[in-house]
Amino acid sequence: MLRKYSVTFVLLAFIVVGIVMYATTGWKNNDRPNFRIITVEGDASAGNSIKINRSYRYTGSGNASTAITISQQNEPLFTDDRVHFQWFSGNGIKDRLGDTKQKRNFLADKKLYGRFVDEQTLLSYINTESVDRKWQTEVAVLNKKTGETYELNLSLSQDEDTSSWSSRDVHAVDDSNIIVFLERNYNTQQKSGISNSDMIRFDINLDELTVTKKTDLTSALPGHDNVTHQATVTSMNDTYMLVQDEIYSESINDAQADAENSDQSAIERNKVIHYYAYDIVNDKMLPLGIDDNGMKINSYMHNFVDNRLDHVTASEGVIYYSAYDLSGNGEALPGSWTVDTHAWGANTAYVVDHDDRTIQILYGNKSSSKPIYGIALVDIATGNVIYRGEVKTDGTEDEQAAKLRHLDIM
Amino acid sequence: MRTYLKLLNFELKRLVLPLAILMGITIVLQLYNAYSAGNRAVDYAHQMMKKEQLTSMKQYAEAHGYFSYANTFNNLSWLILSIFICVAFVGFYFVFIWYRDSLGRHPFMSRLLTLPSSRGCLYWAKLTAPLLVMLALLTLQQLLIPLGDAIYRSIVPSDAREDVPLQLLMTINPVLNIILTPRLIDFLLYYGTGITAVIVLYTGILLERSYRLYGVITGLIYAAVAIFMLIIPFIILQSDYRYWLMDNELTVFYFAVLALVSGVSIWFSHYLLARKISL
Repeated sequence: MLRKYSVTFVLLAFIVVGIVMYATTGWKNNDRPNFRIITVEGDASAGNSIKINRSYRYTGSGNASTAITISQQNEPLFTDDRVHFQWFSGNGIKDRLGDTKQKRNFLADKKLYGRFVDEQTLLSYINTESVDRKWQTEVAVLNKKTGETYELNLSLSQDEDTSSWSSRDVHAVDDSNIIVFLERNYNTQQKSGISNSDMIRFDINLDELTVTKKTDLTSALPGHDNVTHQATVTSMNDTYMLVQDEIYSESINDAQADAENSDQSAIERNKVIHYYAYDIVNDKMLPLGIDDNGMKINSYMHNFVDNRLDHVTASEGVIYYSAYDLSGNGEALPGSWTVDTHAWGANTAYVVDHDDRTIQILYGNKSSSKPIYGIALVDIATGNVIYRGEVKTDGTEDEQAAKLRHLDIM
Repeated sequence: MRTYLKLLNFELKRLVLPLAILMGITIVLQLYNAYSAGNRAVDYAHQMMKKEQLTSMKQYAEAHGYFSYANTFNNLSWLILSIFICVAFVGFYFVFIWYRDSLGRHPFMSRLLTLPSSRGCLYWAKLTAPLLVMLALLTLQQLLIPLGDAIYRSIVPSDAREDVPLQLLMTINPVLNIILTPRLIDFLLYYGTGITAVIVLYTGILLERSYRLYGVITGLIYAAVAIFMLIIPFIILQSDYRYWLMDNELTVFYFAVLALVSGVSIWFSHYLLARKISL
């Protein structure tokens, strides 16, 4: 029988090889090259949850690049910047949030570029745009418990000096009340394109579909007289909102107006940033004692923990931590610390993640003859390093250095 | 079953030579692609090094970036040509497999149709033989990717080379990304659609063989209806109505449509083959 049907059996055996190859992944991922994290300081078990992963990116310009991610992922990432046909090309936010029929039905006719906030009971949507030269904000809310939906349109101020409105955030106070935060841009300077921006709060009652209160949160902040200022929200939880207020001095406005091209470095030099913690529940703006002006910051992180704001910045390889009292006068609490990654041989560091007790720092030095990449977990309370690990690979020292030099930290 | 195996073996024996030629062409084109891409990269690097007075490949890479086998997977290349040659042949053979036995003064189909067994075996043998050839070519493609990569790596020095996983090579090529998609559900969708299309094509061919000109018109109408049914899930997918169904519901719906169209087409084909086909 084997001889009689030899052609069929040989072909089937060949196909079985193909099926096995398709199903197995080892040969496709072919470790290129093999990276691992080696503990160099602290408790090795604290680094158990940290995985090192290769990430490959291919761009339409024809460049393939390899990077590593140090995180809790388990599978390699393949990123392709171009679009192929995929069965579900996905609409991003609508597919991410639409994990139930009820939510999907609510999201069906919403615009993708709107702001979606999924909270415990309410799924909220806001979208601000100019319709027939009139600015308006579309607000829609789904009560996930009862299935009820609420919709209303806010007509916004159309003053001559208003150039635009944009949606910033929406927050559920309870099942019947939400707060919408919008940004109003006005007095746009013709040459520089910089405009004033202020945060406006709208309290909305869903049962009556009315605005119960409208508050301008930032236009009256100190230092705003006759200068360009921009107020933005950088982080938020149920109780507090961190407002970053950028004030541009008058002198740079004139210099900017005269310059043919934007001079971003000049703008940065003459920009002063103040921070405020806005208490959403009590409608109070508390100035904070944060002063990062003049620092070259490459990453930062904020975290509200009870009545405290943790403020972490990374600047030129040094990590700065400070905490601010939200129940008092907004001044720095004792216990601030710095971690200088230069001591580890690094020249760049980023704050990448945090929880209420630890901060995760990525550091590296690509330009050294022996490049290093590493990750450190630092205890917030003490500033002590709980865990530090560095990336190693195979081969001689020169080969390892060459492989590491190919990479970027993501 | 035995008759089916005999017929399948018979059809595959007929395909041995074309398959061997296709495999040969594919191997030559894809390995040549890797070889020429590697040599082009090295030649280009040497030219630039001479022009800019660089002394090593490492300096070249620092100044101009790294070469990668991935570049040939992005561009039109011998690799894509080899895939298209195979696709064109298999597509052609799906039609030819019926007509080669039906044409001529003493068509071989008359002997096949008078075999002392169900004519369904004939249908299944003619359906599965080209599909098995297609799967064999897919296997070959999977074998050639690491071979091509090894050839490229042997030519381009590691100092100027960015190595990427073979999975990425398959992902960035739009054709390989479909025919060797890493996601099983996508694989079932693509190949399910393709096999359904072949089954509908066979029904059209059998309509033509049974009713000649009227069969051609009927076959075209039948194909149009089948295509429309297959498009319905895509229409839903592109509209806001997609949010009335969960993703898995839409997928199940599509598989159900595939099964329905295939099932009706197979039943109809068996009916035509058993009762209506004429020579």
